[in-house]
Order: sequence, then C-alpha cells, then structure tokens
Amino acid sequence: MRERLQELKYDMLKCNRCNFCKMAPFPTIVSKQYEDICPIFKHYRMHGFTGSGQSYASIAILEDRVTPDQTFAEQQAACTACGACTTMCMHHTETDRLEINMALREHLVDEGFSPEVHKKAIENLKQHDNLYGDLKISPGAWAEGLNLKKFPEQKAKVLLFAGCATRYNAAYAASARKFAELLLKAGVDVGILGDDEPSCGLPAFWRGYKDVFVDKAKSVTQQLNDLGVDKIICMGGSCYGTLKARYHEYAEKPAIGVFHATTVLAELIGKGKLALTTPVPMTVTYHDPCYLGRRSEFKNKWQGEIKTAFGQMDYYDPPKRHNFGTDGIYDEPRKILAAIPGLTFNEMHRIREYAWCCGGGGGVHDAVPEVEQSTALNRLEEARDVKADCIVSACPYCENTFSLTKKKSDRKEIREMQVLDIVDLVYKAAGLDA
Amino acid sequence: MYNLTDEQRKKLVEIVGEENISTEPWQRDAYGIWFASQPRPDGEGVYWTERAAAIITPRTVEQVQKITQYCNETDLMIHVTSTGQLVAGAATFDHTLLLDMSRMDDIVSMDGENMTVVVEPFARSIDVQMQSWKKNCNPYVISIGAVGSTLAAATSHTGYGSIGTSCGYGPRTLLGVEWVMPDGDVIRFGSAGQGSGWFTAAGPGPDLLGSIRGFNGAMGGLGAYTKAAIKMGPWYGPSEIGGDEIAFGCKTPSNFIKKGGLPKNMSLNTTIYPSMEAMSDAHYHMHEENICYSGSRMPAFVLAMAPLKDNASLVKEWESGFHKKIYGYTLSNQIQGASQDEYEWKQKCFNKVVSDAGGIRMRGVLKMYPKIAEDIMKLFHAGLSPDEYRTLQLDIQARIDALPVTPIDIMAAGASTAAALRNVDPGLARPASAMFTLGGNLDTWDAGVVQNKLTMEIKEPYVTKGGILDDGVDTGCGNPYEGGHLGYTENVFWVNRVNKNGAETLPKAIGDAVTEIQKGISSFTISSGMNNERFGPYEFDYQIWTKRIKKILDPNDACDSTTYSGSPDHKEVPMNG
Amino acid sequence: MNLDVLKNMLPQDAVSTSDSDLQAYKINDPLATGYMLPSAILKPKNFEELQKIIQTANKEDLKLVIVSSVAPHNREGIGCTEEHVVVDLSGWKLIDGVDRKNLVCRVEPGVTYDELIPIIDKEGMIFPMPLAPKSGKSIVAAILDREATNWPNHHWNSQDPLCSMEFAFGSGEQFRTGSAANNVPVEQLRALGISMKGPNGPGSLGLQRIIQGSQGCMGVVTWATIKLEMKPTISKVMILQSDNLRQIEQFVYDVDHHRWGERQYIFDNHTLAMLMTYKNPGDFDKVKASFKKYICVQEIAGFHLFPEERLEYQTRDIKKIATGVGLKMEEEVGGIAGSDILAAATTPCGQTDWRKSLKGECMSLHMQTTLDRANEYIGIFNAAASVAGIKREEYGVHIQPIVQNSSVYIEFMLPYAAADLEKIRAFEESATKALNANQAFFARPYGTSAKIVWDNDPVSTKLMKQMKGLMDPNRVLCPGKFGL
Repeated sequence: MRERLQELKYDMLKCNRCNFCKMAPFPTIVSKQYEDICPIFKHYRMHGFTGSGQSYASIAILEDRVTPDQTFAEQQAACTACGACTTMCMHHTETDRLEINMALREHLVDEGFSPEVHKKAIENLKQHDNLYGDLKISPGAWAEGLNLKKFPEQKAKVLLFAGCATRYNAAYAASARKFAELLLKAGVDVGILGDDEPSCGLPAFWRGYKDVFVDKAKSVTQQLNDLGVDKIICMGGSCYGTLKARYHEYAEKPAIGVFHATTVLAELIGKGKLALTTPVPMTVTYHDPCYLGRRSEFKNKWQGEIKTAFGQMDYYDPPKRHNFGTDGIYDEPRKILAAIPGLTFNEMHRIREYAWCCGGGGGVHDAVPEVEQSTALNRLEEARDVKADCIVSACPYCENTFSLTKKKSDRKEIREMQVLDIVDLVYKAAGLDA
Repeated sequence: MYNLTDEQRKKLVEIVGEENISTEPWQRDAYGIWFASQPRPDGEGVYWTERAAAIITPRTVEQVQKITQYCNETDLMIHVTSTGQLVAGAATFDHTLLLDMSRMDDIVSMDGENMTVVVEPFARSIDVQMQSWKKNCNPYVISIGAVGSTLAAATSHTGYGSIGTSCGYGPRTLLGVEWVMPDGDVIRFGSAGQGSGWFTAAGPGPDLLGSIRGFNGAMGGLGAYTKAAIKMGPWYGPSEIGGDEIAFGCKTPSNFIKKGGLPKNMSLNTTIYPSMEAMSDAHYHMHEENICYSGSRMPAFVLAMAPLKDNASLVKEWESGFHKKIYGYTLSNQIQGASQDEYEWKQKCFNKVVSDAGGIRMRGVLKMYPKIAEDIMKLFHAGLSPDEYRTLQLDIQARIDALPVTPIDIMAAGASTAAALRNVDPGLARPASAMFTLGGNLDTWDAGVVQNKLTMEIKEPYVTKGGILDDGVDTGCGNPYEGGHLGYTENVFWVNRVNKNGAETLPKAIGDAVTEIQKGISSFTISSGMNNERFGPYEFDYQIWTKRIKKILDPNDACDSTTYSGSPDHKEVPMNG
Repeated sequence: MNLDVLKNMLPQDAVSTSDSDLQAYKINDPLATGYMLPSAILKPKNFEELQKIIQTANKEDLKLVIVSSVAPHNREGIGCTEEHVVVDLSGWKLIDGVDRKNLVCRVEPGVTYDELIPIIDKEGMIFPMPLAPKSGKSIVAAILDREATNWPNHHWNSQDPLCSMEFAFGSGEQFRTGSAANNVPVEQLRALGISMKGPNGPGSLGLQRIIQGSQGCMGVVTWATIKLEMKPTISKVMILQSDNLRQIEQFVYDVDHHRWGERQYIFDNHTLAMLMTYKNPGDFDKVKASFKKYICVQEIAGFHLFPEERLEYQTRDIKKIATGVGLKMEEEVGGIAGSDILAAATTPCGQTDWRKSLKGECMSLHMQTTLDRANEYIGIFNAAASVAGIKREEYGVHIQPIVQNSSVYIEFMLPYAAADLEKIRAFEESATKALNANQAFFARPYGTSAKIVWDNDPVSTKLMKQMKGLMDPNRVLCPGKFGL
C-alpha cells in the first residue's frame, strides 16, 4: 500500500495548512459548539488529528521520517472516515483528503499494524461474515413471516438489501421489516436474499483492510449481478454508499442501479402509491449519514494528465470530476419528512454535505469508543439545540451510535430523545403502526 | 532529533495530563512544516523543520506558566501555535515543546458598551463575531479569514483584513495582553495589570506592548500570550447569519443561497476602474469620510478564480482575457449605515465617488450581458477622449442600474457579503500549493501602490521565466484602514511546491525584495525573525534590537525564538550597556 | 558634574549656565517638590549635535533631561531628582510634509500648537487636541505624554496621533520607527511616495510605544509624523446637559458606538466655567450657574461629500439618541454657544495654564477608566475630598472619551490659593491613594501616583526596568523617573 500512498504524495503536498479541514463552512456556523467539522480534531485538539495532519504524517512516512508502528495505527484509527475534510478541502485544493487518510490506514494495516479489536473484527468478518462472530441471528431472520420473495429461488424485479445490522440491532431489524411492508403495500415486486445476504464489506474498508474489502466487493457484486433484478434498494445508508461508490472506487460496482430506501419512498409517496394520512405529531430533526450523503458520491476513476499552465499552475486534463459531496442523497429524506402530516421538522446547523458525523464509522466504535461518544454527543446536543425531541436518520450505524450514546448524556432531554429511522416515521404516517 | 526523557515526560504529564501531550513522531511531524506552503528547493516535498520534542495542548495559564518555568530549569524550550495557518508555528529546535493553544478557546468576557472583548488564543474571529454581532460589535478579521485566532491576529501576525477601515487594523486594536513571559512570570499589560479592567495596554508610564509588538509580533517565539483584550468596531448588520434576513442553505460548497435580500442598510459594491490611479483616487475618497464599512482591492486573477471550482476552469477563464480587460482594477466595498438615513447618504456619496473617478458600479454576472461587457472594454481600452469617456461611462452605468435584480444577484451579494465579513479566501490555495506575498508596507494607500509597482518589477522576470505563476503580475491586494488614514498592499504570488523551477525561484524572489528595501520600502510583511538578518541592516539594524530584547527577556533561552529574533546565534549579539 | 566637555563640544550660544536661564526650567507647580534645577542648558541644533551630547553624557556620566516646550513648565514631566543638564529642543521648529491627501505632517519637538494650527488650516486640516493647551506647548511632548485628545471617533489607538518618529536611544544610537524605519533619507522616502505614516515597527519592535508615556526617560524624539484630520466644511456644536451623569454616559455610548459626531467633551459645570472664564474669572460663578451639573459638548459636521446632508442626517439621528435618554440638544446655553466652547477648548490658552486663572493654582489629578465607571471614581474622589474638608463645588471634572470611547480620561481639577498649599498637598496624596485603592488606572503617573503605582503590578514594573536597560542602559535620560 506504500505505492498507493506514494501516488497520493502529490495531493498531500497541496496542503498549505489553511485550517479549513477543521471547521464547518462559515455561513453555517451559528454557535461555537457546532463549528467543528472534523470529529477527531474536536476530540483531541491536536493538528495530527485532521485531514491536513494526516497528509503530513503520510509524507513523513514516505520520506522515512516516521516508521509505522502499533501506536500510530491505534491513534490513526480514531478517524471516522466521514469525509468532511474532503468536502472542505476539495474547493480549496482539489484534493480528496480522506482518500489519503484511508491510504495511510491501509498502509499501516499492510505493515501489520492495526488495533487488536480490528484484527479480531476482520477475522470475524472473514469467518462469519459479520464483525461480532458467530451470531445466533441469521441474515434473513428479520424478514420472518413477511412472505417476501427469496432469491435466487424466486424472482422479483427489485432486491431489498437489508444490511447486516439487522443481525445485531433489533430496532434496525424492525425498521427493515417496516420498509419491506411499505414496499409491499405500495405494490413493489420486491425480493430479498434472506440468509444469503452478505455483508457489504464496509467494515473492512473502514478498518483499512483493503484486500479483504476488494475480495468482498468482487464477490458481492458478482452475486448481485447474477440475480437478474432491475434495481437494488439498500435499506441502510452505509450499504448504499458502499455499493454505490466504494465498490467502484476499489473494485467494481454492481451492473444494476443501486438506490436507497429514501429515494424509493420519496418516489412512491410522490406518485401517490403510499398515502401518508396519519398525523405524526413530533418535532424531529434529520441527521444526514455520511455514506448516504457526501460519501455516496460516485468517484470517477480519472485518467489523464496533470499539465501546467501559467508557469506554475497544475490542472487536470481532462478535468477531474471532483467530489464536493453535493450529489449525495439529501433532498429525498427531506421531501419525505415534509410529506408526513403533523410533523415538525427542524434542520440542524451542519447538514447535507457538511453534516457532522455520528462518530460510529471508521471502526471507531470498537477501537476508539471515546471519539465515537464525544462525536455522537455533540450531534445529539445539536439536535436538542434545534428543539428536536427525536433524531431521525437513515443509516444503521448512525442510529445505533445515537441510541447507545444518548444514555451517556448528563442531560435528561437527550437521554430521553428518540432515535428513529426515517422508515419508522413513514410507517406511522402510513397508518401501519398499530 | 530529540525525544523527551522519561523524567521530562513525567513532569509535563503532571502539568497537563497524559491526554494533552503527544510525543509520537507522526504527531510531531504533523506540526513540522516551516511556513506550511514553502517548497523545498529540490521541488520534491516538504521543507521540514526540526521535529518538536513534544506537542502539548495546555488549558490554563497556570499550565503554560509551569511549562515555561520548567523550560527555564532545563534545556527545553517552548514555541507557541494556535490556529497555525500558513505559518504553522513550527519548532526550529529539537528541544522545543510546541504548545498548541487549541484548548484555550474561551471568550473570557465581552462588553458591548465599551466594545471590548477578552479572548484566549484559540477563540477564532468567527466565535467572537457570533457573540459580538448581537451586541452590534465586530472584531477585526485578518486576511486568512475568521477561522483564524483573534488573539494571534492582533498580537503576533500581520496581514490585511477588509474591515480594517471601520474596525481598526488588528495590532492596533489591542487593549491588553496577558503574557507568560519567557522567564515564567505572568504579566498583564496596562490597566489589566493594575487591576483596573481590560481597557488599555498603555501605562502606567510607557506602553510596554511595544516590547512585543511592532508591525510583526513574535509569532509564538517569545513566551505565550494567554489572553488578549481587543477593541471592536461597530456592526450595523444582522445579529446572525442564519436569521431571516441573511441566511444560507447549504446547497453547494461555493454557492450559498440566500434567503431574502441583504438588509436595507447594507450593500456590497463591486466597482471597476480604468487604471490604478483612478481606483486609488476613488479608494481615498471612499474611506476618508468613513463611507465604506470594508474595502479591498481584488486582483483580476483572484476574481477569476473565486467562483470557480478547479484549476482547469481557471485556465480557460484566465486565458480568455476577460478578467484582465475588465477587472484589472477592481474594488469590493461594503457599505453599512447605523441608520437608514446614514446608509442612504453613504451610498449616494459612494456612487458619486465612483462616478467622479471614472469607475463603474457593477451588478450582475457580466457575461450575461455581452454588450455591456464589450462597452466596458471599449471604455477602458479604446483611448477615448475625456468627453467620450464620460458619456459612455454614464451610459454604461445607467444600463447596469436598469438591469433586473435576479436571484443570482441576490445570491452573489449575500455570499460575497458573508465572505467579505469573514474574509473567506475563496480557494486561494488552489492555483498552486504555495502562496506568498512580497512586501506589505503599512503606510498609506499611495505607498501601497508604489510598493505594488516595485514588487511587480521584481516579480515580472520570474513570471516570464515560469518560476512564479503568471497571474497578470499585478496581484496587489489590500485596502485602507482606519477611515482611510492607513493603507496596505501586498502582492501575492503563487509557486508550486512540487515544481522545481518554482521551488528554486521562491527564495530568490524573497531575496530580491531587498532591492525594494534599499529604495525605501519597509520590509514589513517579509520581515519576521527569519528574514531580520537580511533586511534589518537597511532599517536601522532593528534585528540587533530585537535580539537584545530576546536576550534581556529570555536569559535562560526558554523560548524557541527563531520566528521572533532570527537565527539561533542570538547569543552573540553585543548588548549596548 | 563636568560641564566643560559639553561646553567645548557645542557652540557658545548653545550652552548656558546663567541663573536666569536655569530658573526658566523650574516646574511651575507648587505641588511638585524634590526636583532639582538643571546645572546647564544645552541647545543643540541638529541630530548630530544631540547625538554627541548623549554619547558624551554616557561617557562622562552626565544626566540629561529633554525639554521641548517653552517656559513656564507646569508639569513634572521635566522634573529630575538628580543633578542634570537640560537639553532644550524647543527651538527645533521644522514643519514639513504637510499632506492633505494623506492627512499627515512632520514636526520637530519645538513646534507648538500655535505654530502648527494655522499652517494645516490653510490646507483644510485640523488636529485632535488636548484641552486648551498652553501656548508654547510642544506638540511632540503632548503626544509623547499621551495627553487625551478630543476626537474619540478618530482616535483609533492610544498611540494616536503619533505615526512614525526618529529618536535617539539613551546610548545615542539613532532609530526611526514605523514606515520611516529605513536608512535612506526622508527626502528619498517622500520621493518614493512613503508618507511615513505607518505607526508600527520595524519588525517586531514597538519602541515608539515605550518612549510614549515615559516622560523622557527612554529616548529622545527628534521628529515625529502626526496624523491630521479633515476640517469640517460645515458644523454645529451642540450642548447637552444633565444633573445625572448617567444620561450623558448613555448618550455618549450610543453616539460613539455608531461613530457619529466629531469632537466631543464631557465637563462638569465647574470645569466648563473655568474653561470659559479663564480670561475673565469674575464671570465664573455666573457661567457655572447657567449650566446643569454635567455637560456634553458634541460637534456634528459635514466635510466634502454632500456635507449639508451629512450634517442633517447626523443631527437628526443624534437628536433621536438624545431624546431617547431624556436629553435636549441646544446650540446655546446661558449665552454661551457650543461653538464658543469648542473654540475655547481648541485654542492655546496663552502662557499661563487656564486652570490657574480662578485661584492662582490648580491641582490636577488624572486617571483613566471606562465611561461606565466614571461616576464611581468621582464618588471616590468626592469621598476623599469630604474627608479633607473640600466640597464638591470646589473642584471640577473633565471626562474625555478616548480611543473610540473604549475608555475615558478623567481629570479632577481643584483650583486653590497659594495659602492652601499644604492642605491641597495632603489631599492630593490622600485622594490618589483612595483612587489607587479602588484600582484607578493612572496611565500618566504624576505626583503621588508616580510614586505608588509601581507596587500595584511588580511584573510590569520589572519589565519597564528591563526596557529601561535596553533603551538607556546608563541611565542618562531623566534618571529617577518612575524609580528607574
């Protein structure tokens, strides 16, 4: 992986320490408490824990000033891989900072350095196709009793990819059931993989185990391509971003179109196929998951030349399609929330491509839980700051992180805050929630 | 390279706690860049400094004091950094403890009536603005933007900020400093030291602020500032961005959509002129009666770059020549009125000043109106007689004034206002990885124009040879300050860190700046410890006096002072007693 | 003291030891005691001669006190407790570089307000001024003493209106500050387009700040560039008065926050009457009785861009503020126009300090604070006065907003007859101590404050000593000043 890091040295050197990778864009800043954009800088307050710092640390490795070691790997593991640094830096330097951070992580893994908990998690992923080991709950257990078509024995036009979180997160499993019911109610010809549903492999990517991830991506892509479906709908934002963007970046993406639950629901609601007539009198806010949002942007594999103009200005020829994070899924969840009668929706301050990470990504949950906690608590505080009683999202990692972390808050209104998937609200509004 | 001994580490952990010190090599190297964007002469990579012995993030002045006292007892030193933009506040000795002040980020107090704020080192200007706007006050914001430290801008660094004409020039807004001195004493200048409150650093007797702040500050190289009292300027705008009047929905990185118009007592004006003389004349008149709330000269290259997202687009845009022909001499000015009557008077005065100077007030995206653009090019370049010029100028202005106000206008005005208020640099790092400035002579605006000309003479041959980016050569940025009394211009230029030609050119260009100094320009922006030796002999040997102060105040060499007093041979300076 | 070496160095007419000449340097304030008369007066003509004097003084252990104003000398600034010679620069009268566009000019130390005002007036400029300075007062000396000036909105920094300067260290070395800090001659700077208006530097040095406020013990200034202002083309001067200082405070806070209005003062009726009747002290009581307790004098003006409209909108807006706090704006009170007050305040008062005209002498005690605490300190001073048997109606107060009203300068003026000297001396000490005990800030220490403030902040005092060691290592300049 050193070669990959070496390829990125050109991008590393574009950093001129402007500090913007630490802060949310100015017009969005309304409070000191919510002005940060980088979770690890907010937690540690040292420059090494930023997109810029990671770039310079990478240069230090390439120039043999720093030797990879276990401590470095354990500290580098704090990055949640949220991509906010990329979004902030892209406009300033045309650089994908997170790509460098991940290349660094992959290099450290390649050198044999990774938190012990990550090593264990990857072993579990290889052996049991999930992070936690031999789980009693099978991948298809969430759908019991729904009589959904089951691939490959039965055919359907649409695959519902539920995600492995259904195996260890009961609330998420329940949300997946609700989504399936909504699809059936709307007359969608949907099927599932059931116990054959694989993990998308995102945990391997996050932990820097590139080879494991690439193998996973290839096998999952092959499996999905063989189904003969028209469409893949991912229940979870994390799966969506992985199949849509990361697969293409590291291996190859499925030949079939990948969609997210919110896109489909928004369309069904818009076409009148799902009537939302039951009021849901709640005040909610919506958390944009990183992998549904900025990290779901398709990353083109650019091929071209770096040319120089005006003596010193490098430019990409042909122009590179940069990932500003703007093409993520942002509008559809909002359209859904707007369509729910009786619902009050208050935006948080850091939203869309500038959303604050939940803290649950990047393998941080197991390796550096204190970062996950401080990050999630900041987000919950932000939800409360906009007077929401409920934080809604569309990703199992986000929802799990908020559900677990809110209990650690010293504020009652945060401990009592509801954490829901957007599907749960649609289900209520559709009158299906007895 | 030096690694702390166990005993040293233990002592420091006792002071700040385990989680607030790092001796990991990778972390230390994340801070190990000298003037972040300076290229290495071989064009291959980073210009590394000495690796600091440790990175420490103190939280209180007591912790900073204890660390400093410890350095007096040992061969360790401190160097201080806060937001660390561009300069990075790197160590230059391997025995240096780099104090990153990012945990000292409080706004200690804010007094809207006396228009004063007391801040810790990592309180950023935007943090101050969020509170101060509610009290109708605004701090000076240095050119790197409101992401920068208010304290550092006033105590330690230089640089223009477009609201300097109404909010004061940063270093001159200092009303007091709490300073952990190199010997470990803690001083509060002036009234704060006397227990009277934070309202002046001057007295009793001499103003001791003069020991640490001139045009430059110490840049982290002489003790640690832990608080600063800043005089704020007035603010007549909305109490927040995000309210009904001026709000931005996040849609894209560079295009923030505004909900609603600018408040009725504010405007952002972009004006263009046929020549530097015309523009300067207008700039004088705009500021001397405090017409403008902010002002800056925007070089054509920067204007071309600002709305674009990548260099490939910039190539096309710049090569088209459009900006060079129309925006060669452009000013951006905000107007605010403390009352509606005042705003209307100011806008009327502004319009007259622009018109009298031969300028045009712009509105709209000019490319949407090619005939107007064409006429402007004719106005500026066709060699018209004065009467012809005036007739065409008034005609163009009338046509621009008659253009419909479009959502794009509203968006641009809102976004530009927000950017101007917080001095957002719109991708200034993008053209090439290293951005520098030559010169920066705080005198009057006229002097800035002269300096810019001289700087262009230095720059042009390097541009021709390809060692400095060809940005049209004239990229003098700056503005008047303090009601137009002072003025400042610095000519920015870009060099690509990984381009060998550029990397070799940069030190030569800076060295050539000595020719400016020899003529009479001050070395201000490019002075600071590292260049003191080079420029000081032309300026009354100020480098010697700086080193004498270092010797007096830091007898035990507890501070890594290269950014303050220059090269490490400070011990050799003869004292004058 | 070996004066021969100085006599041999300078032309004969540049050295005097005659008693009558020496007596002219007596401090004309009975409260100032303990100071020695000089042993000689030296009048160098240029920097080179000055430098020789200083270098010689270093070699021969001579002590120097620099004087720039002409006699009589009313303040202790030139006081020295050790044997010394005076270096008199009052004959240095250069005024040049008068620049309307950049609002700056250069003056040498001997230039007085009387001399400068007509010259800049011709160019349409005026100058922020201390309150009715005496004729013969050196502008450079006043600026170096950081005397409070009358234009808060244009007062951006405590250093103002000082821009750059040339000075000699106590060792005799030459230096220039700000944008003048370049070895090339001044003419070359000017030819290049440098106005020498930049106030900071060079480098990280702010030596002009160390010299300001030092009452001559840190360096010898040989010229300074000073910031000027445009003269209004049209103006009104309004009077607002109230028995309640809080109303005036609120008015000033609001007006200054908006940066409205031009020159501005706050007086009590005692001080105002002193100012307006110093040529006719017999009218004092009548004038005082015409005014309420506190008066704000507020100029409103127009300049060159639609001046009438500027005057109009500011008058309207300022009046709204006044009405809002319950004040009336008047152009005249008791037959005295606001413009008369401004004229009196901005005109040199003659050789004798106007403060002395009422009773022959006047105790002046000054401090600095924020406007919202002015009342508190008046209360403390008054309490001390009561203990000393001095009634409120016997003394006056001048409150001057400075540095854009981020603080105010307060001067307590107590006119007294020579017979009451000892009582006043005791009171000056007790009042200063009372104020000091309540953290009053004596930015410009004189009298008792010059003795006691140094104990309040030992760390700052130590730094001051260190700077003295830098600027004047052999204690040639005004030794003993501030205990240095």
